[in-house]
Amino acid sequence: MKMKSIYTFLSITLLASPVVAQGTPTVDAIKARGALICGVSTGTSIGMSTLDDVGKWAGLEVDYCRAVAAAILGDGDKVRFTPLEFKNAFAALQSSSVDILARSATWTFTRDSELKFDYAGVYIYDGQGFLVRKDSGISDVSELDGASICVLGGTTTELNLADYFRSNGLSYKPINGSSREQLVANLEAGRCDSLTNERGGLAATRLAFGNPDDFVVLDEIISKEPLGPIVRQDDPLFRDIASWSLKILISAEELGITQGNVKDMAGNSTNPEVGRILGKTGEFGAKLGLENDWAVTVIAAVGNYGEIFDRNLGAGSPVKLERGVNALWTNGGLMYSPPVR
Amino acid sequence: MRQQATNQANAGAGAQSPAPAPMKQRPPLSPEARRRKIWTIANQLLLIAIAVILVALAARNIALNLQARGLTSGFDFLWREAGFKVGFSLIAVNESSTYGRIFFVGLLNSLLISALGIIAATTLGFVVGIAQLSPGRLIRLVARLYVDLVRNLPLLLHVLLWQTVFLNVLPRVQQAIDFGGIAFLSNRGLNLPAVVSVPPLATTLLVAAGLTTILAIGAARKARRDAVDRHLFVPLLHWAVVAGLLIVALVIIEWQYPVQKGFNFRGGVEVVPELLMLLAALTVYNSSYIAEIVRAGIQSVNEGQRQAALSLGLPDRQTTKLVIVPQAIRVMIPSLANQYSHLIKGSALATVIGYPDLVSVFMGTSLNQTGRAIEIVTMTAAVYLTLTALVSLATSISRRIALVER
Repeated sequence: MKMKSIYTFLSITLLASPVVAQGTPTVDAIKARGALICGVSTGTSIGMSTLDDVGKWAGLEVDYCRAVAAAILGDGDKVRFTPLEFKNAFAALQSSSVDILARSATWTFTRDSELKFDYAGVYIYDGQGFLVRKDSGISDVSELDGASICVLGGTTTELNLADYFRSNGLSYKPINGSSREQLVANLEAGRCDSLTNERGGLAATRLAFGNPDDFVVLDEIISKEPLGPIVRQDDPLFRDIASWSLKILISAEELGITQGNVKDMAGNSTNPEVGRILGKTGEFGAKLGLENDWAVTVIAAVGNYGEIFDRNLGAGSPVKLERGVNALWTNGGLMYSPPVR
Repeated sequence: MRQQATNQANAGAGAQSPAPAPMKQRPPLSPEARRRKIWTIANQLLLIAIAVILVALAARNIALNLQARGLTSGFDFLWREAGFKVGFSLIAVNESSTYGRIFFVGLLNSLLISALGIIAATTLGFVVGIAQLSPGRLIRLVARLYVDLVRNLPLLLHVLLWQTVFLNVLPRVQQAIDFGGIAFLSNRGLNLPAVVSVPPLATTLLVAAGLTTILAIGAARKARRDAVDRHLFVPLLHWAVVAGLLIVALVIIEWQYPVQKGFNFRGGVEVVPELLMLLAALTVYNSSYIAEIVRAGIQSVNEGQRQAALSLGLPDRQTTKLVIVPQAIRVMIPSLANQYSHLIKGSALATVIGYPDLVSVFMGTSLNQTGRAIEIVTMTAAVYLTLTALVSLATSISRRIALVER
C-alpha cells in the first residue's frame, strides 16, 4: 500500500516535463481560459487596487486590468484578480501564476533586465515622499536626521531611502513593515517618526489613519517612481497589447473620447485619428490579433485615462490627488501616446 | 521496570532511532526471517534510488525552466552590495554590506530569538507545568486555565496581540519610562547602557568575584550539610565580598548611558521592541505546550517512586527535586525537542511584525531585490533544516547520557 503510493508519485513526477516557451503563450492561455489573471495589491492600496466589502475590486490598476481584458476578450469583467504581497509578486509573474502585474512596482533597470520582465508603459509617474505627524513640526526631509522611518520591506523605496540618507550624510533607523496597515499602525503609535512611500500612495495612506488631518505629506520628492504594468518577456504580442491598451486610454483623453460618447464617436466622428483608433477606418485591431473595434470596447468598459484617474485618485475620489506630472503632455504633464497610424 | 521505561521513552520519541540492543549473542535467523530481512533492505535501497532520481529530475526541471525563461542563476549575488539598511543586528552592517553579510545578520537574529525563546519558554513552562500538579486547588486551576487559553490561540494571533500591547501600552519615546537615568523603556524598545571600556583593575575584580562565588557555593553546601548555625556566617561573608567586588567593578567600568536626543535615544544598547514582542509571543505560546509536557512527564513517573522517597523520610520538595524530576526529564526530552523545533520554525513569524530575522531580511527583502528565488529559498530552508536536525541530534545524545531509571 505504502509502496504503491510511492510508485504513483514517481510516475507523476516523471511525466512532468519542463515548460518551453514559444509563440504567444500568454495570449493563447488567456483566450483558452477566457479570463485575464491580473496580479494586484492585497486590496488595501487606496486608489490603485482596493477590494470592497461585497468583493468588488476598484482602483486605477484594476481599471487598467479591465482595459486589457476588454481588448483581448471583449469584456472588461473577464479578469481574475490575484491579490499578492509585494514580496511574492515578482515570483508569481515569473512562474506564470499571473499574466500581468499591476501592483505599483517601480520600473527599474534590474527588474526590466535581470528579472526578465518588460514594462508595458507607465500609468502613474510617482516619486518617493515622506508622511509625518503634523504636530512634529517637521517641514523638510533634512530635519529627519536621526529619525526612525517606517518603510515597506523589499521595495525600491527601501533602497532609495538608504541612498538618499547616505548621500546627504543623514542618519536614520529603518523600521521595516510587510504591509501598509503595519506601517500605518507603527506611525500612529509613534514607533517611527515618518513613513516613506510613493507620494500617490502616501496621499491614500493618510486616509487610513484614525484622523488623517493629524498627518501631512512633505513636499520634497527623493526619487523617480514610474509605476506601470509588468509582463514576462516570453510573449511580445502580449506586451504590445498591454502597452497599447494603456496608450489608447491616453489617446482617448487627448481626443475627447469618453466612456459616455465612445459609441457615438465611433459612428459619427470625422476626425481621421479617432476613426483609426475606434476601428472605423483601417484594420488596426487585426495587427494585434484583436477585434477591429477593440478600443471601443476598452473605453466603454473603463473610460479614458483622465476619467480613470479622476474616479480613483483625483477630484472624484477621496484621495484628491492633483494631476501634476500625470497630466496630458498638452497640459504640461508627462502623459503622451504615440500616434495610431 | 527498565523495559517499561524504555517503551515509554520510545513512544514519546516517535521516529527516533530505537534504543541500542542488549549486549547479547543474537540467535541465528530463521530462513523466513532472513528472507524478510533481505526484502526490507532491498526495499530501502529502492527507495533511496527513487529519492535520488526525484531530486535529480527536480534539479534538471528547475535548470531547464530557468533557461527557458532566460533567468540567471547562481550564488554570485552573495558578494554584491545590498544597498539597504537593517534596523537591528548583532554584527556591524550598513548600506554597503553584501547580501552574504545580510544573510548572516538574518541568521544571527533568528538564532538570537530562537535561543531566548527556548530559554524563556522552558522556564515559564516548567513553572506552569509543576503548578498544574500543585496540591493547592487554586494554583492548579489558574495553571490549567492558562494552558487551555494560551495553547488554543494561533501563534500569529499571539504575535499580533503582543505587537498591539507593546505599541499602545508602552509610552512614546518622548515620555519613555526612566529607570534612574540608566535605562529607558518606550514603544521604541529598551535602551540600556553600553560598556565603553573595561580597565584591567575591573577585570581582576570580576575574576575575583567569580572565584569567591565558587567558594561561597561550596561553603553554603558545607553549611547545609553540617546543619550548624554558626557555619551560616561563612557563606554570608562570602556573598558580601562578592557583592562588594561587583559594585566596585561596575563603578570602575566606563559606561555609555543612553541619552534622549532628537527623535531617538543616542548611545547605549537598543533592544528593539519587535524582538521583545516576538519573544513574548513565542514564550507564552510555547510555554503552554511545555507545561503539558512537564505535567505528563512528571505523572509518567511511577507513583511507587514518590511513595518510596516519602517513606525514606525525604520532604515533599526534595522528593520532587531529587527523585521525580530527574526521572521525568528523561521522558520529556523527545517532546521538548519537538517543541523547540516548533519554536525555531515559529520564529519566522518575525516577518509579520518586522523583526529582521532570516526570513524577513533574506527571503523577503533580499529575494525581492535580487530575484534569486530558488537560491534564496533553498538557503533559507537549509538553515531551518540544519537547526531542527541539530535539535534532534542533541536530543539523541542527551538521551544516551541521561539518567537511566533503575
